[in-house]
Amino acid sequence: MAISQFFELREIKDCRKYRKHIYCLPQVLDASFIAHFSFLGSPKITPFRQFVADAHDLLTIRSDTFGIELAGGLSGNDLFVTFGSKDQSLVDFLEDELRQWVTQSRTN
Amino acid sequence: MNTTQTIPSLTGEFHKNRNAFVVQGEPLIFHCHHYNTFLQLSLEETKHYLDVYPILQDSAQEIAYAQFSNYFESVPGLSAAERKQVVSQAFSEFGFGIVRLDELSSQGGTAVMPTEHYSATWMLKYGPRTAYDRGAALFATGFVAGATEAIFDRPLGYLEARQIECPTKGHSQCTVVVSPSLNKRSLEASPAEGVYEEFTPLVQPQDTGIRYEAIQNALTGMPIAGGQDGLIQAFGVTLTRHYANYYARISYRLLKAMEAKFGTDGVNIVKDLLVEAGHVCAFNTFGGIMESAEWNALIQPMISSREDWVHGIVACVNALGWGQWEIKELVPYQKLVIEVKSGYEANAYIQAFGQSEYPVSFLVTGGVAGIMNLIYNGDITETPELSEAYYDHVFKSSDKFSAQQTQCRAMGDQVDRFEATKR
Repeated sequence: MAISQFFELREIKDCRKYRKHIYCLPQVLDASFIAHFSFLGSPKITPFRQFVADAHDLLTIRSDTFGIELAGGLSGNDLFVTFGSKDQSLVDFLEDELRQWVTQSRTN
Repeated sequence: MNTTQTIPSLTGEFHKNRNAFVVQGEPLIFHCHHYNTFLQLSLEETKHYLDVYPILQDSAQEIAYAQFSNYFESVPGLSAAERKQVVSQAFSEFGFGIVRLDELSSQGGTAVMPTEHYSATWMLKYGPRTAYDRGAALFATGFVAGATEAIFDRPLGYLEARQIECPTKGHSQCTVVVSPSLNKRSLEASPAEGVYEEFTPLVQPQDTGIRYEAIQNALTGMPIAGGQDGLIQAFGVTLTRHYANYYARISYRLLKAMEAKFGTDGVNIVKDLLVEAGHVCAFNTFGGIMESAEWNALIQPMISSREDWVHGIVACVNALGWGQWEIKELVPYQKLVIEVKSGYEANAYIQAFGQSEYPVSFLVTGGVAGIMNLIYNGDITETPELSEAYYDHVFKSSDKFSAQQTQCRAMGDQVDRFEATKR
């Protein structure tokens, strides 16, 4: 498990043609996260809370251009990322954006 | 005449009194690509003993024909172009891929699939097929034949289809050629929902914080359909909203064919194959669900014990259209007893064959063992990588759980009942 001041990389799944990472973030997924990653695409919200009060609404942001899908519970700390290729630069790019969001969130 | 803007869509309804999602008379169920490809592979491995390819293709033709014939009868006046649009749209919504039917006529023609579920996921799971193999899109090939018959009001069996291009054989897309059948083929009408059971909704168990009905409502309300490529990516797997009768037909036709050829030995071979397919399904579909963002958001907040993981995945199963699963007994690390009402396997078997001399719900049998192996033999709570090595660890160790079907509706019992223990 890779730990940094910005996030914990909790899980890696190395599939044949793509990768999945699960990150544990120091801040919860919220409107600032959606705003920061809006360049990837429009957010889709699945309203789980209307069925189960303790649940998190599910946020999904998918970019076919970048080949990335982000998913996680709003107001939760876990972020599920699917990378559409094995290109390490895609991972580096996404993690750099995560660090920027965390830094901005801390200063706001 | 209806315009393209006003064609009623091929919509379905989730019936809570039997936990079935039915679209134009056909029950549809969720299954993942791991199960789909493994099941197909299992059938194809009998090709040296049986003529198995008609089983795989004709079953698809029969069911697609039934569904679209029902639909076109209920919406009269559609043009051929509009009917093709309905079929293409349904193909994508169900997660089978993208199919282009423009070149098809009442005498056949060519259909192309820029993306297709079986061929795309076969490449991911098993890699390319050999030069001697057929293409992987056996279901879609039969589907196209049956749908074309329905589009042009031809009788079932009038057309036949063969796949001539497949990404598993180096091509860029799937191409299927449809033509009038050279030989008379006796294809069978779909059993629709079969001999199903109606029941009152499950009473919330008192020994868990998992809210069964709320989970079912949340998941059946999710818009799970094919994306731009006509494939469904959800819960960490590639899903299809597939035909319950397709699974039943290919499984039980294989069973009967092997029984006819090899007697009891043949039955036992197929039982083992189909239960193993259930293990593969449980490992990948259930495991994928339990490691998904959806589980993390919806179900994880309700979990306070390892046993809640069992309740959580059973609650999810009750949204898949597989019938109603109910935990009757759970002894941590030792035993799981599940009863199933209106299971799609039993519904289809009883309709097609009547009474059986042996249990027939093989998918459930594998699935029940799978739940215990994931939660109490392995440890899905630690989100392990669902690799082949991990599969062997949880399903092939000497410490594994195995399941038996102890009661079977097809054998005359009141319920389908399954028990998983370490044997």
